[in-house]
Amino acid sequence: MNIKKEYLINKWLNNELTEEELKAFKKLDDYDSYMKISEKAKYFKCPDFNTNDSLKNIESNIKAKKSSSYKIRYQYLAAVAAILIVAFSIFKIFNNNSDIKTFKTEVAKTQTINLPDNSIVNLSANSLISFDNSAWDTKRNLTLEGEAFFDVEKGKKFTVETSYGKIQVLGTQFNVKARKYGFEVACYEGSVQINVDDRIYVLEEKNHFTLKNKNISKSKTVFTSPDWKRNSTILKSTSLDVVLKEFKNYYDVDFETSTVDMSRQYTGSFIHNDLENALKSITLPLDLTYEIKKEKVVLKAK
Amino acid sequence: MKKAHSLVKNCCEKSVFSKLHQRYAKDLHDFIYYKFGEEHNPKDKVQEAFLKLWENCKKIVPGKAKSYLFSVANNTTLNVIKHKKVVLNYELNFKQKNSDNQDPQFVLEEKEYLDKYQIAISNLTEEKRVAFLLNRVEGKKHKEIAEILGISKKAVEKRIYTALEQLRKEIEGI
Repeated sequence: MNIKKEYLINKWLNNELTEEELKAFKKLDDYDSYMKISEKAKYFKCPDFNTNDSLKNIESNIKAKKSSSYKIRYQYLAAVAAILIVAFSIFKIFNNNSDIKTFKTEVAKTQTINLPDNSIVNLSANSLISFDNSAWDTKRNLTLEGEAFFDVEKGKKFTVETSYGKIQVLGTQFNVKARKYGFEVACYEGSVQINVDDRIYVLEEKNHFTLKNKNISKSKTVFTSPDWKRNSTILKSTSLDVVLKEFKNYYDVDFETSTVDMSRQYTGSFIHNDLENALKSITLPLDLTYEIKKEKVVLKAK
Repeated sequence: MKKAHSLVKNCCEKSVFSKLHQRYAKDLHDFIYYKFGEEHNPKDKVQEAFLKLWENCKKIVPGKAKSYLFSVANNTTLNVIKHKKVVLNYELNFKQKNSDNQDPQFVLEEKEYLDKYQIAISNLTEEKRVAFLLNRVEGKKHKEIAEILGISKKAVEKRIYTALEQLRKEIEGI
């Protein structure tokens, strides 16, 4: 009976009862409760599922995923670019602000500059040096316009760049004069290497290097410091033209020289702290007279 | 030769994909609902499963899609819940639409019965509940349920029958 009952119920559950079996099924004791359970089960039906809506949602999701993956990639790129730009500009700002130091002297003024490694630069009048402060540890490199005396501490190669060429040393004392009208290097201690026009000259202690009209000459010097540090300028066989230009570095004056032959050679010296004395030093040997008018000095032949 | 080739095409083709959806989405939804209840958003699970199928469409031939969908939906739901009791909601006003008037006592009795029914259903094992409700509510034959669940027809029969007996005993307080 029990087996028969299970058989009937299974058939009923699968909608396979024949008419005869249905009659038998209806005669079961629990027929009513089975029917009730079966009928009331429908209350627990799940909410409707709309297949079309579901597919649409899935399709739009697939599209969104595709485009969002591109978006993420672009955002990523943009972020990287922004970081690079910021990093680069910070780098630039630091470079520009802190690195290059420049010192400039006016006419008749001198200045002493201590470099980061305790090397000393004595900057002569009307001159300019500049160097990269932050890179100094790795590269002792400075540029010079004008004249300066260097007392270099021992260490890495020390390079002075001028419009004429480079002067390289390891540790010594030397003077560089890189004026528009002449290039001179004097070595007072150790030795100096000079690179001019792709040629290398080595200057020993107490030697003097002069580049004049593309001619190079070397001479001995007895001094242990440059002339300008002793407040005077020593000139050898120098045209009056250049003498007066040199003069103007130390005195803020203009010259009126229309009647004078500017190519005349002068050998001698003038001091930097007494205008009349200095003028006399130049005019007497050349047999000239001078007259000081408001910021203008008139030179005339006697 | 060409036909043979078209048979092994993968689910990446849109026509294949939407056919698969048409065929399995509702069953998948019902399966998840009866197994885990509506708390876990069966509709979302269906969507997730189909999106996963789309992502991996190259690796899955249409013949394997059904079992793939069901196991993905099943697993992602299992990841969320740790065997919590599943309580399915019922709506009493379902019947009220069809009847003209109901005396309060009938409504009360009905509610009492359904409350018992609800507890009884939540006391069924997942396996029995899914099979029973797919059969009684969704009107699926044993064979169809066997296909959905990937078990034998005999096992389905057994599950539904024992579910029915268990429900009857529990509701009637035997």
